[in-house]
Formats: sequence, C-alpha cells, structure tokens
Amino acid sequence: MDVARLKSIVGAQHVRDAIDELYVYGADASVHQAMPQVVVRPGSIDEIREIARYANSELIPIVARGAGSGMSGHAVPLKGGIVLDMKRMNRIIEIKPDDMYCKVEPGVVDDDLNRALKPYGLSYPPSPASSRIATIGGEIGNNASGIRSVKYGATRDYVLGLKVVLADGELVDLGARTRVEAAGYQVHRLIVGSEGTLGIIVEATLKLVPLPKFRCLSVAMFDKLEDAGESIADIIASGCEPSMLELMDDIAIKAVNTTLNMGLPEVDAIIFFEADGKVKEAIDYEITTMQEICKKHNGQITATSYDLKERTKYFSGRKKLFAALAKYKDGYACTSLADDMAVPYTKMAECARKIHEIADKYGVIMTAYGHCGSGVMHTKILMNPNDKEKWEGAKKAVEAIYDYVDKVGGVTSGEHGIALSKAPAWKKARPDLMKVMTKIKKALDPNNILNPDKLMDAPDDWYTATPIRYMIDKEKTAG
Amino acid sequence: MDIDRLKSIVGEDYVREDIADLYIYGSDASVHHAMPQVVVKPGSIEEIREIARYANSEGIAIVARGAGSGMSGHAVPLKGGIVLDMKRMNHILEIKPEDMYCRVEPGVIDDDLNRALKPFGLTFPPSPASSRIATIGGEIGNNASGIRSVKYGATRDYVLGMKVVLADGELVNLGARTRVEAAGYQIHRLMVGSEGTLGIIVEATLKLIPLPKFRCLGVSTFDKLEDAGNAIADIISSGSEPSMLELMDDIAISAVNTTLNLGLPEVEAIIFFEADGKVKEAVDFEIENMKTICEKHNGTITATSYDAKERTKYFSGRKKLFAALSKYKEGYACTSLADDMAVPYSKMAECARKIHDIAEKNGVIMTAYGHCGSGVMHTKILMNPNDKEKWEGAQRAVEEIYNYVDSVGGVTSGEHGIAISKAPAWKKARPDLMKVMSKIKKALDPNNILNPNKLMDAPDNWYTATQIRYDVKK
Ligand SMILES: Cc1cc2nc3c(=O)[nH]c(=O)nc-3n(C[C@H](O)[C@H](O)[C@H](O)COP(=O)(O)OP(=O)(O)OC[C@H]3O[C@@H](n4cnc5c(N)ncnc54)[C@H](O)[C@@H]3O)c2cc1C
Ligand SMILES: Cc1cc2nc3c(=O)[nH]c(=O)nc-3n(C[C@H](O)[C@H](O)[C@H](O)COP(=O)(O)OP(=O)(O)OC[C@H]3O[C@@H](n4cnc5c(N)ncnc54)[C@H](O)[C@@H]3O)c2cc1C
Repeated sequence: MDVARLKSIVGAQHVRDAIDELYVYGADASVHQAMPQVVVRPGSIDEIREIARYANSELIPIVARGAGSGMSGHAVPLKGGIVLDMKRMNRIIEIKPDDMYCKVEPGVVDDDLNRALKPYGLSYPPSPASSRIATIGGEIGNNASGIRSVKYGATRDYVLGLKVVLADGELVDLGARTRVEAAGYQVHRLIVGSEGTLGIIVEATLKLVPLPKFRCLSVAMFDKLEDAGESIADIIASGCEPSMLELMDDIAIKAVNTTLNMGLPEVDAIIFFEADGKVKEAIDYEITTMQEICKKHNGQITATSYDLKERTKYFSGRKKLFAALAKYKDGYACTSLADDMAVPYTKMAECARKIHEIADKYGVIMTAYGHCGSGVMHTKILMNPNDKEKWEGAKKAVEAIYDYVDKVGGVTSGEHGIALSKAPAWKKARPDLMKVMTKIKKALDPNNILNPDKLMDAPDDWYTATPIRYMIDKEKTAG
Repeated sequence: MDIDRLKSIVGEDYVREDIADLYIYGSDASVHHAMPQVVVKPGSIEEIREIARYANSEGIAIVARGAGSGMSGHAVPLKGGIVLDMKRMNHILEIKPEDMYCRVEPGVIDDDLNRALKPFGLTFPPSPASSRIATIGGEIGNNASGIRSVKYGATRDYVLGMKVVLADGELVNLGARTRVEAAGYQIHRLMVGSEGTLGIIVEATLKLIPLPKFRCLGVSTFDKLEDAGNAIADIISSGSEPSMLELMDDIAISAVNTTLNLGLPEVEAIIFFEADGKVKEAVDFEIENMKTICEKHNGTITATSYDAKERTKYFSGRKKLFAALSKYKEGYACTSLADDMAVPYSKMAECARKIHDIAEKNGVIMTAYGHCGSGVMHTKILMNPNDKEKWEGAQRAVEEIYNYVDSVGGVTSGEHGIAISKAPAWKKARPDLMKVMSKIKKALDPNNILNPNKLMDAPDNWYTATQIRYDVKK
C-alpha cells in the first residue's frame, strides 16, 4: 500500500494509519472486527475517483463507510485495505422545494438533512431509528427504513438519482430528478441496498414529501403477546394507514423499566401506533379504528395524544430501547444477530412467540420488538458475551429462527442488510438471487475491490468470519 | 429456426408462422414495424425455459410480448426471431388480502387484476391509461405508471418479487413477499423497466393497497396554458396530495369536441384534479386547496363531484382523448413521438408552451396533456403520415423537444419507456447510464438474445430504424 500516494491525493491530515484509529474503524455496530490497513477521508468526487483508480490497479479493497452504525458488519474491512470515511462529504448541495427533491453528498447525517428541510415544510421520511448518526450514503448502502416505513416506505422508494464512482474510478450519473422515470435500467435502484459492493455513492437526489401537520400517538397494553401480534396483523388487513406501528415485548419493557426507570406496566406486550396527516378528522378516524382493533384483541388503550411533548414522553420507552437493552443486565451485551427479519403480517404473532421459545431452548435471552407495521420483527440476543457457551447457544438460536422465517415466507433482513452476520442464513435461503448478484458484481467490479467478501461472497459461518469483538472466555467451556 | 422443435415444446396450436399473424405481431402502438420469424405462445414456465435454452444455444432473438401496447417499439422484433406472446399465462395465482400482496402470471391484464381485487377492498394502483389491455408483464417491462401516479407511484414501487427466466433458461426467484426487504441486490427492481432485455418475467408478486372510500374530482378551465401549468406546479409545491392531476391543452380539447361532441369549453387548458381517501373531510380539504390555487391562477372551477357517474362524465373527455386524437382530422395519424417526457414541476408551464412553439415551427400539430401531477407531459404529433415532409418536420420537432427537456433537467421518458423511438435522444442524454447498462446486459444476456437492439443498442436514427408502419410518399 502506497500511503504516500494516498496522502498526495487527499492531503496528509486525511489519511490515518495509527493503530488505535485503525482499530476503531475496524468495527461497526455488529459483533465483528477486522483491521483496515489505512483510513482515508476524501473531500471531493475527484479524490474518490483517484483513490478508486489506484486501488483498482493495485487490487486493494475499498470499504466505504458512513457512520459505521451497520449491525451486520457492513463496514468491517474483512480483507483489510482502505476504509473510505465519507463523513467529510457532508454538504447539502441543493434543496428544491418547488420540485420536491434535494441533492446531497453521501456523508450528510439523516437528522441534519431533515432539520434543513423542516423550514420548507418538507421531510425525507425513510429515516432509520439511528437517524441521529446514520449517513445518507449508509442508508442507501443498506436500503434502510425506519419507524415510519409502514406509511412512507424504505430508502429505495426515495432515491431518484445517484452519482456513483465505479470500481475503476469512472463517475456515472444515474437516475433522474423527476418523480417518475421510465428511461433505461433503474441502475440507481440497484445500487440501493448493495452495501458498498457495486460502487461508491458520491451524490444522491432524494424525493421529498410534505411534513404532516398533525400527528397522533396512541398506546395499547396487552396481557398476551399473541394478542398484540394479531392486532398488528388486523390493523394492516383492515386497511388502516398508520404512520407508525411498533411493538415492545415483555423483555423490552423490563429493559427500559430497570435501566431507565420508565415505570411502564409489566405486561406481555405494548403497541405504539401513530397516524399523521393534514386533516384531524382523518387522523382521528385512523386512530379510533386502530384502538377498536386493539380492544377487540383484549388490548387496553393507556394513552392517546396529539401533543408533541406528550407523544415524546409516551414513546421515550421505545425510543431509548436500544440503549436500555445494552444495559439489560450487568455483564450482558446486546448483540445484533438475527435482528431484523420481516415476515408476512399474518405470521407476526407466531413469529414473536417463536423467538421467545427458541431463545429459551438455547439458553439466551431474546426480545421481540420493532417496526412491525411493515412486517419487521426486531430481536436482539442478550447474553454474557464472555461466555463461549452462550455464543454456541446464540448460533443455534439464529439458525432456528431463520429456518422458521424462511418457512413462513419471510426474509432474512427487512432493514439492516446482510453483510456478514446474516450471510449464512441468507445464502441458504436465496441461492437464485446470489447467482444473479454474482454476475452483476463481476460485471461492475471485476477485480472485486469494493467491500469484498460480503453478501454472496461472505464466509459461511458468521461466528468465525472475523474475530468477535468481545473477549470470549474459552477456558470455561474447556473446563 | 427449428419450428418443429418449438412446436414440440408448446404444442402445434401455439406456434404461428403464417404471414398475416407475423405481420400483426410485427407492430405495437408505435410507428415501427419489423417481421418476426415465428410467434410462440407458451403456457408454462417450463416451456419458456425450454424455448430460452433453445434460442440461446442458437443465438435466436426472443421478444417477450404482452398486449403490444408499447408506444416506442418495445415489442417490435427488430432482429426477427421469436415473439413470445405471454397472454396465455394469465392466471391470478394468489390473492393474500391479510398480507397485502398478490401473485400473478405475467399475461394477466391490469383491469382484470383490479376487478379481482375489488371484492377484497384492495387495488394495484400504478395502472397506465391502457389498463384495459396492458398486461402486468408489459407494465413491469416498461415501469408503467398512470393517472394516479402522483399519489400512488409507478410500477417499480409495487413489485415486491418476481420469478424470471434468464437468457440461458435458468429460472430465478427474486425479491420477497414482505413490504420491506434489505436482503441482497434489488434485482427484481432492476428488471422493472428493462423492456424485456434482461429476462422473461414469468411470475410477479405485487404489493396491494386499500381502495379509497371516497373520490372527488374537480375541473378547472384556464384561458392561458401558462396559468394551468403554474397552477399544477403550485398545487404540488403547496404540499397538496392529489390522487390525480391531469392537463389537456386547446388541441386536445378541440380533438374531443370535434370527434366526440363533448362540448367542452374551447379554452386554452383544462385541469382535472382528484383527491381520494377514507375520510371525507380530508378529501374536501385537498379539493378546496386545489380549487383555491386554480382560482389564484385565473382558473374557473366548472365542476366538482364525489359521484362516480358524474366523475365519469366530466372525465370522459380526458379518458377518450387518445381515441379522439387519432381522429383529429381526416387523413391524419396520431403518432407517439417525444410522447411522455417528465420535467421538474417548476418547468411544467414553460414546457407546454415550448411544445406548441416547436410544433408550429416545424409544421406539425402537437398537443400537450397528461399526468402532469407526476411531472409527465404527454404529447402526440398529429400529421398526415403519408407526407414525407411532415416526417421530416416531426424528426426536427422531436429533437428540439428533447434538447429542451434535457436542458431543464427532465427525462426522455417518464412512463412509456425508450425502446426504439426515444433511443436516439435518450442515448444523447444518458451516456453514463448506457455504459453501466451495457455491462449489466452483457453479464445477464451474453449472447444478446433478449429483445436485442433496443435501448442502448437501438439504432441512432429512429426514423430509419425500422419500416415506418405508414405508407410514406415523397
Ligand atoms: C441503535 C441503532 C438503531 C438502528 N435502527 C435502524 C433502523 O431502524 N432501520 C435500519 O434500516 N437500520 C437501523 N440501524 C442500522 C444502521 O444504522 C442503518 O442501516 C444506517 O442506514 C447505516 O448508516 P451508516 O451511515 O452508519 O452506514 P455504515 O454502517 O457506515 O455503512 C453501511 C453500508 O453502506 C455502505 N456505504 C456507506 N456509505 C457509502 C457510500 N457513500 N457509497 C457506497 N456505499 C456506502 C457501507 O460500505 C456499508 O456496506 C440501526 C443501528 C443502530 C446502531
Ligand atoms: C392508449 C394508450 C395509453 C397508454 N397509456 C399509458 C400510461 O398512462 N402510462 C404508461 O406507462 N404507458 C401507457 N401506455 C403504453 C403501454 O400501454 C404501457 O406501458 C403498458 O404497460 C404496456 O403493456 P403491454 O402488455 O402492452 O406490453 P408490451 O407492449 O407487449 O411490452 C412492453 C415491454 O415489456 C416487455 N415485456 C412484456 N411482457 C414481458 C414479460 N413477461 N417478461 C419480460 N418482458 C416483458 C416487452 O418485451 C416490451 O419491451 C399507453 C398505451 C396506449 C396505446
């Protein structure tokens, strides 16, 4: 690796190769860890093109990285090489309220974009729960979607156009600025969800929608998890249009109660549902319909409000859930494994129960929660990460869960992507897709330099794919 | 071509090679015409796989064809070979109302699907104006979108998954049944809009949404086309959420009046706007807003109604426009050339005027109308198709229009696709995209058998690309 060359491209201060920094860039929000050789922080498209040309000719891997908040090892540089930190490219290039689109650099943080859009009464709505840190580039890389995807869809539905630097350094301008387009292959949509393996996104044109005038949140408690699951399925099947429909199970409730002192009732499940829009009567109608459905399934409505402060208060348990799960029990870690499958709505209730059963069977704690309105079931595995036996249990649980998901016609990942942790299960489920993906990958990145060894090229065992970023006490099992 | 082999695959009844049949299958709704060698009508996935394996090994072209209602030569077999008529594969395989999706074969007609969904209170909404004949496979092939795309989006937004037979006969299952998915490349979305050049779609899983309870239509007339264009732009930028927002210019109005006796006021422009939803107050709110905006731009509201019958009556002028344009004047033809560009909303008014200016300059008649709510401006060139001079004028007009569209950041096609007629302008505007497309095409169809010579591989001059299907005299 010619570090001097990289320095001449981006400037010495934007190339990092000190061991502590490399270490930090070796991990993301997953359980994985692998060291890059160098971190480069480009400031312009031309710099990125030059880096790609160099790396392509020397066969050096490039892993584009936004905030590194991916949960399956997306930005972990499995084959070393260059981590390309995109965070300096964080300009909002253009907001066109009249034409309902904006153009941004990939390093723009989601919340920053939405803050800039607010004065225009506009919003970029597919934001994931991590919007405080996630970058637009990473959201596109993962085809991210968030708490409002049930109404507003995923990132793929908002990317109108992209500028992309290909593996050989060529810059291509894809897609359009208009709302509809039937003008050639939708290559920009192919790039969405490609996890940094097909090209480096250097600019994005995003569709915007008007901010709703009113939002109303309501909360329902259930003594039985199945009842909550059935309510969710029923809300969707009845034609309701929630702008959010979230589940928390007993473990999630307990987590926020013990760590944050939230004082939520210790029921089997809570559902949060929201409707939004311009006209109150329409919102009332949606909320009332959803409340009726919850009651029909033995739910108890504990709160309803249009008020921002109150909504924030009621929702804070769900909002802070990830942080709470991370502190669930002293010495426990909250690991993202089998963390975001999607299942058909009719399987929601069964899926939640299944997760608990499987966790029990394999001696780990798992929680079921998430953006259930779009069919997504989030889980985390909570365990002592130093105990090798727990990891063995986790592996079996992950496998059992994905077998179940596949059987009921679900998908391995609804939101966070495949990368490393989910690759083994996904490969088993999608051999056809993999074959086509391999052809396309070869066509666009023949030297395999862009985020290599992810997705279809990922190792067959996630546990041994990289060092796990916890100290695992092997003695214990040996003894 | 081994016709017997094809007959042994699909059965004798389903292979056609007499000249009359071939002639019909040589054209679609475009100006182009080219003869296939044979028409094959498969009835199953396995048959299609076998046909593909045979064609791929012999280097024979395969053009998948739905209803053949494409307007740019999509299904015209430029290199002969096999036209694969998909209409026998017209089964609705599964409707899952609780999970809000359905699975269909590609030959299902859009209106038939929506009729089957209605009892469940559901709809597949991206339907093009041609939904009475268009097939789901052709809609996916073209990434079609229709009068309600302003609210409901295009076909690409509704394809959750599909089964595809690749050029070599391999069958692949892509996408999912769930609403969101972040599990590998979105190849199924790459197939949407690929115009039959990447694979043969043999099954599609489609997202469904609830049918609205109320629909309200409003009509506004304008003395000046610019005012109508500005009203459209203003409706969108004010955050209104119409479920439809359509324009008709004076030529369109005169066409429906003279051919259908509709008695529309002979103004410069009419806008039709609609809102839909579950709650009347919300629909009223949208309609009121849009009315106010039209009035601000000197529009006169001539009708509003929730009633299905009345709405049908008011809208019939727009609904029957295509038929009317075809009969605009004795001896004239209505040609789809430069017919569906999309421009940024703020350029809507200017674009409509520009089309008229360019038409006049080049001695043809052009009309500006269409699904303007999603930025689409439809046009047709009306002319005597036997007059060579008119074709020359049309060629210049097309070129000037696309130069304009490109200069304001628009796209060559918003709805109907590129195929042959729009390829020259599109190639000029999108060299980058073409390069990437060629790489993908080579990777998935190395022998170039699937709908060859379309899009990036189309001839550089649409006028000489094929026979023009009119008798053009000097
Ligand atoms: C607490 C928490 C909550 C979360 N909630 C959600 C959620 O609700 N929904 C959801 O979908 N995800 C969620 N995530 C996962 C993750 O935050 C999102 O998917 C997010 O979009 C990733 O953005 P990032 O900038 O961190 O990307 P990174 O992790 O840095 O990168 C993600 C992928 O995109 C690629 N990439 C990044 N930038 C570019 C670029 N410019 N060009 C090409 N490829 C690029 C990378 O190579 C990598 O493969 C959550 C994560 C955490 C920690
Ligand atoms: C009066 C009229 C109005 C129209 N209005 C609209 C409109 O509002 N919006 C709009 O978008 N379009 C419109 N169109 C154009 C056209 O009708 C649509 O795009 C329609 O979706 C085409 O469907 P089809 O079945 O006729 O496809 P075809 O014309 O038969 O084929 C279209 C393309 O798809 C490919 N294809 C077909 N089936 C398959 C398959 N199974 N697998 C792979 N590829 C396949 C073909 O090879 C071809 O490239 C209109 C056309 C007419 C004549």
